[in-house]
Amino acid sequence: MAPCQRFAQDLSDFADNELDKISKGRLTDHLNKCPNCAKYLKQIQVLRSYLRELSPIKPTQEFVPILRDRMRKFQQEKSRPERTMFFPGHRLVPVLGIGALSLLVVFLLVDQSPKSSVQSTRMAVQKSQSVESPNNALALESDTQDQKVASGQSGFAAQVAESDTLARADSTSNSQDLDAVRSRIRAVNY
Amino acid sequence: MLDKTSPMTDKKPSPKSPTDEELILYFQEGDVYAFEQIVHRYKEPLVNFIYHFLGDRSNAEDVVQETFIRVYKNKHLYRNIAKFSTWIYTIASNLAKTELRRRRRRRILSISQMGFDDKDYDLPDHVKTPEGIVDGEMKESIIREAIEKLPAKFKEVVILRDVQEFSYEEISEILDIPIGTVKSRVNRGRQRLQKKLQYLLDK
Ligand SMILES: [Zn+2]
Repeated sequence: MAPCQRFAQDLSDFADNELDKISKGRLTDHLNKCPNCAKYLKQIQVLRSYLRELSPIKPTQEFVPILRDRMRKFQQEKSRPERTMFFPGHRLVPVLGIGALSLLVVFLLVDQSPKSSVQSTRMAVQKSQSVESPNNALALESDTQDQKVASGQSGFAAQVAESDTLARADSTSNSQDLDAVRSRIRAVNY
Repeated sequence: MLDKTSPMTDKKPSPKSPTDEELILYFQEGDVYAFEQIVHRYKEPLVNFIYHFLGDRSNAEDVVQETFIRVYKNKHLYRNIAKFSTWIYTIASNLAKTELRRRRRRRILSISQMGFDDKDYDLPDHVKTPEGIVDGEMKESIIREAIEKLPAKFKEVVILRDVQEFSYEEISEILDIPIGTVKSRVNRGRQRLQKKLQYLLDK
């Protein structure tokens, strides 16, 4: 049985208790005269109760384990681009550091005044520290991210260590000079 | 009725249980356990919603998985101005519609390969069962099938309104359509179901 089309919307809204007072009055008048619409309303109400009472579809037991697995994979993928971004920056640190230190060596050789040598050493130290800080920030950030995924993190740490050794290996030729300068900086700092 | 899967029913947060909005906030601050609770709350209602929308369980679970992954990846996109339930349902319904479009393309492709005209391609209606022998289980499967065969725009509103009991306002937010449109689609969806299921509705 189809309802009168001009009342169909009102009937649906009425079933939802969403009909304003005036429309409700008009509809009630009509329902008293029209068995078709009255029957339709009843059927809609039964339909709604059936739909409400449909037994729920339960997700399968694998649902959560699969989801956790996907989240883990996402976390691992997420930490990967950070590693590749990490490389150039990190390689830059020793390079700039070496640059700063060689400058320092030049300063120390040219300027024999102890006061100014301390100053320039401090400047150089500050410089190399400020270059390193973005990496420190990055490492910290990756720590604070909700990475319960330990594997991703240890991989990350390993990469960091590796890049460090690689960078050092690059500069083996200067390493002896460097060590000398480094110990000097330490001496100045303390 | 007690075991209703609508998020609306289990949403009276006691002092002990945080609201959905609080949970997503905790998750935004890095608490992964809060995300697990969101999954626990929403997996069943979402699987129900998408199951009725797509008509099969395994696809429904895939879509809901993807929904949670999106929430996980884009947690920072949630702003506290919207209800969390409407936000997550919006994501789920968009993914379900994408899946439906993908299926339609695939079906048209396979039909054209078989040499049929896709206009003629429609599964026959459920074999009508004589009154009286329709038991509860059979009744449910007939109803679910009828829902599944509704055009998507009617189907989504009917599921949200009549199966999951969202308000018109919430549905309007989830689907991003005016309330008037929601009402008229609900009406038309119900009319279609009533026509198809008449023999079940006479009491
Ligand atoms: Zn009438």
